[in-house]
Amino acid sequence: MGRLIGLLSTAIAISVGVVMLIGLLTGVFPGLTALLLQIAVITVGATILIGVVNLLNVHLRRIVGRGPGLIYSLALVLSFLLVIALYVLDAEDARRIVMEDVQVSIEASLAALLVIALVYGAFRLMRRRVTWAGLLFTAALLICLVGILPFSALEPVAQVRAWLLAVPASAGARGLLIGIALAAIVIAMRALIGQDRTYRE
Amino acid sequence: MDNTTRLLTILIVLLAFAVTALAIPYARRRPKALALRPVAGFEAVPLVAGASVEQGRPLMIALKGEGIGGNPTPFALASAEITYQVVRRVAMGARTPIVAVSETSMIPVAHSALQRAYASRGRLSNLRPEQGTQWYAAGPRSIAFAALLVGLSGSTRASGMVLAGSFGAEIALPLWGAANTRIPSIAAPREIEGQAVAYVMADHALLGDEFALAGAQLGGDAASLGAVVAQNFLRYLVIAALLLPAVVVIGDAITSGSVSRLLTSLLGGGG
Repeated sequence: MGRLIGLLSTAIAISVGVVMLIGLLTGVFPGLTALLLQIAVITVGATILIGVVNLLNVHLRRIVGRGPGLIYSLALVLSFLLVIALYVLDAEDARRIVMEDVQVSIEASLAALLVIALVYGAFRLMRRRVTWAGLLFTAALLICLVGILPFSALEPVAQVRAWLLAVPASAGARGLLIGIALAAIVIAMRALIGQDRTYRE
Repeated sequence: MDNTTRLLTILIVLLAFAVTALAIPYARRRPKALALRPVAGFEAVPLVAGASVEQGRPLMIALKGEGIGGNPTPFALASAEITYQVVRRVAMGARTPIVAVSETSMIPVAHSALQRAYASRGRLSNLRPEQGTQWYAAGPRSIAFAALLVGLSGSTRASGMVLAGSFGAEIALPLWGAANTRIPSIAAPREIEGQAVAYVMADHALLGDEFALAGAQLGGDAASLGAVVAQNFLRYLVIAALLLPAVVVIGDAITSGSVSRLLTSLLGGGG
């Protein structure tokens, strides 16, 4: 029975995928593709409920079982309930304080911390082992940082910086993006022909 | 979508479809003939998993910004494969790994990967699903999610970190946390900024299309190997397409335009 259900779900997934692909590329079955898209949007929307249940399940268990990270879980559940209550009570001002003043301030301070983490990362790269790649990275970083300084004496460095960003950095980024896109296409094709592991097991 | 773009898209899709459909049976018939290049990030997975089993501490896997039902769907499938392959190696241990996801549609995908991995080892009864998949809401550039991973790994005393998905520069925070607590980290971000930071800060980084090789590198089944063959074939096609204009320009310069004339006569261009 389980195998039959698995086969049926695989057949449905492949059929829907193929119909959507043909519909989006050629413009045929406009009504059917719109309906399938609506079903997908509703299903994804329903997963929000799964997320809320998952969140409360994990953290309430941790609070009741007095597991590690109890304080964090308590803060998370209380914040969750607070935000829900503010929405139910339609307390616009209090909601703005929570979402903008508290959340944005915390994220801004974390962003500042991010800079320190990145500097530490560059230091760690060289400390671990001095390699040609590490030296090249540090040299490029220094040229980029020095080249941005507004001094006329540093104009040649600024030109090297502009070239570095326009040619090698841009070419490398495009190469990586093409590789990622090819991988995505192959994964999608593998799913469409029923060879993804989620279908097979 | 204009007609030229549509035609090119259909051609690319048909080509990718044909190549993938042919490569998988080829890989099934000749699995030994395919040699994969070593990737440091995948070679480190058994060590990171082994440390989790030996220390009796959970491994933390974080999947950011990907879910089923949209453009990121193929990336979600790739992340699910990474999760499956890593969890298979820690399923022998006492502690269920923690899979933190940022998209709600990723919860069933991650849970399914956990279940299948434990089932493949015959240890489904050891899986504690209430500890496994954990959802934390995150925006597209959520620094809060990245900071949360630092707290989560500290409070659960994680033995290692595997980070995959659409991490940008904010991946620096969990990687910094991993370095400070001296736990190994493997990062497979798909954003360019995230890849740059991961290259510098992670113990092992999966760059470019390497995130899609988990099945072939760690599993070695025919479908995954076939996908690698298809990926490589398409890559060589792209390289050829990129080199062709350069060859034509250089050839024209040497032969006073003969190469262009030859191509025009072959392809019937120029009216």
